[in-house]
Amino acid sequence: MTKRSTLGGGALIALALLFIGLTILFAHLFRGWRVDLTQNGLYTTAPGTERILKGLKEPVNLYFFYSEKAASTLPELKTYGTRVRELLEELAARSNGNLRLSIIDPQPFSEDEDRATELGVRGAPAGPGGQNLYFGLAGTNSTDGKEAIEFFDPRKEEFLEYDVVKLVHQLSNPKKPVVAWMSSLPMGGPAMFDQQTGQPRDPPLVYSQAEQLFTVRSVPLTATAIDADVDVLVLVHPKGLTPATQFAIDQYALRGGKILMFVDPVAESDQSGADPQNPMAQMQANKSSDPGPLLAAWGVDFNPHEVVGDLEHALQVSLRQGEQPVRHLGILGLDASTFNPKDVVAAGLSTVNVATMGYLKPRKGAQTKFEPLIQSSTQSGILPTERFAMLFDPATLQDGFKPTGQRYALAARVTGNVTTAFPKGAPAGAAAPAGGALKASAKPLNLLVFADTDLLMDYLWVRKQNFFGQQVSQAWANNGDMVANALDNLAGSTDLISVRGRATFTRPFDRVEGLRRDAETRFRATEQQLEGELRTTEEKLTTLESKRNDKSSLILSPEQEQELERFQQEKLRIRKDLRGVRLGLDQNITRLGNVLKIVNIVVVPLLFALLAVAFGYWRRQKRVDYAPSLPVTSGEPQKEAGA
Amino acid sequence: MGNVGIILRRELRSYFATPLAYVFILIFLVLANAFTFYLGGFYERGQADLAPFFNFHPWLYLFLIPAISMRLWAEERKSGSIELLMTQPITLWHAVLGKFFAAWIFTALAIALTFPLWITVNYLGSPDNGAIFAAYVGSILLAGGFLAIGSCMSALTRNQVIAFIMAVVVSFLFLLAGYPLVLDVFSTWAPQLLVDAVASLSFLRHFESIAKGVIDIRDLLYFAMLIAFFLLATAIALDVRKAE
Repeated sequence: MTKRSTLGGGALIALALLFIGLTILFAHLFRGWRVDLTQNGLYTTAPGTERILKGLKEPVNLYFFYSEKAASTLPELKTYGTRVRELLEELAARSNGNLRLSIIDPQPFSEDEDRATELGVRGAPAGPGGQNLYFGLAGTNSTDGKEAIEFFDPRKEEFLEYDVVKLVHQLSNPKKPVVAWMSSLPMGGPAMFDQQTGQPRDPPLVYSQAEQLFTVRSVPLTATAIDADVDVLVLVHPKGLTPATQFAIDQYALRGGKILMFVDPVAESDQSGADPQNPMAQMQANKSSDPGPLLAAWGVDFNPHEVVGDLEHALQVSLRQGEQPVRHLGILGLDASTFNPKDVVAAGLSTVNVATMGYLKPRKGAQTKFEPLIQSSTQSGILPTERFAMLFDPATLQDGFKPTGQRYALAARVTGNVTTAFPKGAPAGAAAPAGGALKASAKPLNLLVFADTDLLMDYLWVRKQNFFGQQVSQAWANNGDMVANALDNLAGSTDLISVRGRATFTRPFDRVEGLRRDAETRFRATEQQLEGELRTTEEKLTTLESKRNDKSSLILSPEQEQELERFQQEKLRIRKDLRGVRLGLDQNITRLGNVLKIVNIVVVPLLFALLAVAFGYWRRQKRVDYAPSLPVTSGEPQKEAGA
Repeated sequence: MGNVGIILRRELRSYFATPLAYVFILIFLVLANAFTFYLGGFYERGQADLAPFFNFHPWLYLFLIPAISMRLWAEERKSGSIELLMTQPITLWHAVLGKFFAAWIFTALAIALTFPLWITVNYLGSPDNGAIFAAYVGSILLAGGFLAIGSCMSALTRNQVIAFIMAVVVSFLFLLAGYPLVLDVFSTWAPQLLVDAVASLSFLRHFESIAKGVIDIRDLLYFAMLIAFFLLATAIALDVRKAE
């Protein structure tokens, strides 16, 4: 080994150590220096977060239980763990000292571990050797408030900031706004019993989420007064309300109350028509909401017999297991193109799923301001509720469906002064409010009304799963976010709205979806035509067969035999055509896929190769053209000389 | 700096003077796209993002980039043209930088030529273009990292094949630095700090975090330091071997 190589080797080792040392140093030094290029700014703190942090009046303690050492064997968890820790440190840094963060790595059987369990953070037996791995957050405030995120799910990374900020917000606002929840559909409270098993059922997640942020009071449908301290009244599927109850709601509205209302032409969860004796009764029962004189008094027209069908937003559903999914004109996946970008409730969301939604119209001569919150596409039309009564094949909804080109308001914000819905005074049985019944608004009304109740149900937006032994909900649409935004907005707090709903759940291939829709429409038309022909042919066949029986002769005339043969052939042909059309359904889509594959894998490289060849040829040409100034050396100077 | 530029231009020109470069780019394009569509199921997946495309980059680079880097120095040392190079009025460092950047620009060009795929995904749906751009940046940085390692390995030997194999092995170790395959070697005896340090050297970890759509300065610094280290190592190796 020469002196040079030892020197060189030594320099290398020194450099390597420096490199590693700097890596560690930078990991701690340059926190928060980043450029967020994502479309939704997922890695930048939301403005609402800043406001909540700056608005902290009393200290909030955060305990981040993170088994960092154990997590080093699970690389994905470790990366996410670093992200969570850095987010918490960043939030603490921006809170002017009001957010006190402690990072704890609980050792087995230590006090820290007990503390974690006490505060609500669960360990999962995922560490090496089956020991508990902790990856959760607990918070306490100066009173007895206690909140926790049990375990950070890496699949919900896009909601990380929201989950943490919500926890801080809950702790810093122990006095929550009061929400009165009045629903004729099973939601919260004593109505949540499963008839069959006798076990209490979980309320829909929108309700549970509301309970986390607000003080929710379940109000019976027979109530004759709305409490004075109620900040927001949620009215779900008003049906069969007595005039006394309607009067109570009316008076609440006139007091300047905020109302979040859900009406529906067909509320799938409405079990009121169920009759144990007659299983069909449920399907044929009337499932429409009946708001009584209320909506009309507030300047809104709602037709409980009409459902909006939207071709552009119809979702593919399979009503029964094992069946081909078909497009259901009544079950819609509403996207950003339908939301009013100026209204904070839906503006930042990406998808809201609804089922059999109605529409709202401003009433002629109304004094209130009607601003649509959600509008259908121009490819929509009206379907009567009867079509949904005994619907076995959703594809039939498309028969004869002609879009009117009009956009229907599916949800709206109604504001302004209103007059009472009971001009003749309080109805019988109504509780007379102290100070006399109001005839007109003491304070302007702020009403958000949605023409669908099914959007509140879990099956349209969230899936519950088991994660390390714990029930975790995984949302695949923003229904929950929208309801929470609506409640927040009406209750007067806007901070969380800007943090909520920033994630995009899915970015489908719109072009492929469009092709699929077109193919289905065409298929539907052809299928109907062919089925019509099939029916006619079969009828003719039956007639012919019956002729055979009538005559009570076992043989047919040769002409009749021939006809029979012909019709049978016809039947076979039609069935073959039907199969062909069904196969061709996906043809366009597969063809597009193949074209794209060929273009990218073969054509583009080929073009490049051709360009390269052309370039090489051009260069050679250039070199050849360059040559003329040089003396042309013939290959045979000696020959010449010798000649 | 002017000297670096001169070497850079000379190297780039020499790349495109032979069919080798074009063949390389062709193979890269075909493989990258074929993997995306057939192994990554890009079209069938139905999601408008380029994750199936970028997921293969580290593994494509693992084998394709050593093929470029192996000829950076091994060839010159073997043929003796390195002496010719060193007689020019340039320093060793200029040569190292010039050759490296030429190779990097060439690789970046090959990566950039995958742009029809970006157009395709925009034609099919509406992807997060900011995140895709960030992923391209991360991919080019990743390629730089692989090149720097390859350059160093190439300077350590006269044989191109050995340079190739060493580059693949070392790159592989860096790729998987955060995973049990590599960490287990350290986790039993080393202090936690060192284990974490080794884990933070992982190519995959830094590439994935950029590909999410965020360009964190620490990831940039990581690649910068890695490249600097291996280029310095290249210079040292060449210097030491100068006599040989």
